[in-house]
Amino acid sequence: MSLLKRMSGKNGSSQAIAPVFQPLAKLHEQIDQLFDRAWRSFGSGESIASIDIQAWPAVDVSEDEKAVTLRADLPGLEAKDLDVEVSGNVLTIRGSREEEKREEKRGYQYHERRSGSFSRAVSLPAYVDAGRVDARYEKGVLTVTVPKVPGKEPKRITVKSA
Amino acid sequence: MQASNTETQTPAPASVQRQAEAPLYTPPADIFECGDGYRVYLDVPGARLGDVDVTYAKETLTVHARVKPRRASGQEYLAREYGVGDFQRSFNVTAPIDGAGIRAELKNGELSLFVPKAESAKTRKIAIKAQ
Repeated sequence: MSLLKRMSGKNGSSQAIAPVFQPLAKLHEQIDQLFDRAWRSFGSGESIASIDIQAWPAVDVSEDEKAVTLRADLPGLEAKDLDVEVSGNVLTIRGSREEEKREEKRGYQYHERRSGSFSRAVSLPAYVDAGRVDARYEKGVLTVTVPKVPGKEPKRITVKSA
Repeated sequence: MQASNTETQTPAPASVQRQAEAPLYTPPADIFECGDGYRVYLDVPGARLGDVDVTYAKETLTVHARVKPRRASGQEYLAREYGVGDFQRSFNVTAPIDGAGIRAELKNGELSLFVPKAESAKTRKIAIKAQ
């Protein structure tokens, strides 16, 4: 998991330089995370092949009786850098995370965080009021709430047996 | 990476209280050397000041962030792509650093640490005397 920097010497030999910060993690925690991701992929209908290609940011979309809520973990941004748009019944979140500007950067020991621009789009159910979207960004979590229109929810149809 | 024969899991310091039943996640890290120290960035979205403990003891830097798990009741999920729970990560620091001088900032779920090098480890420019 660590990144060993290789430096080639004058005569072409290379030395591995151990990183200054070496992670400590229980092996089973890492395996648990691997399985956790695998099971979530099964549940959401994604194919096994896409386990490693997870869309960024990951989103949660949930609904209760009052509203549909989208949540995304997007630490390290400012609210003004986030772009939330509704067009028709498609909700899109967009933005970008800059890599830190560094003075005297001398090379990464670890570079695990994603940066760059992102865009995720979610289809909203028909029974929401797309004109009253509320978007909040705090503690690094973006929460977008779209209230439901009362009375427009799907009606259950009883299936009669002959 | 140097493998160790014994499992080196430093027990969390007494001040760290882990929420019962909450899953534990490993936050991704960016670490780089920067002048007289190292900058460590960890993503801990959902954690507030007061929820994050940064400790350095016995050459091990530990970060633990408490995050409230999802509300279970009343919500039906249409998509659930990530888990919500505490974050924890430990690093064995192999270079001499000044543990007492570690500075930490938390903003919008991003924890940034400045870990200063120990005085003895700082680069000293050596003056070259002209002959």
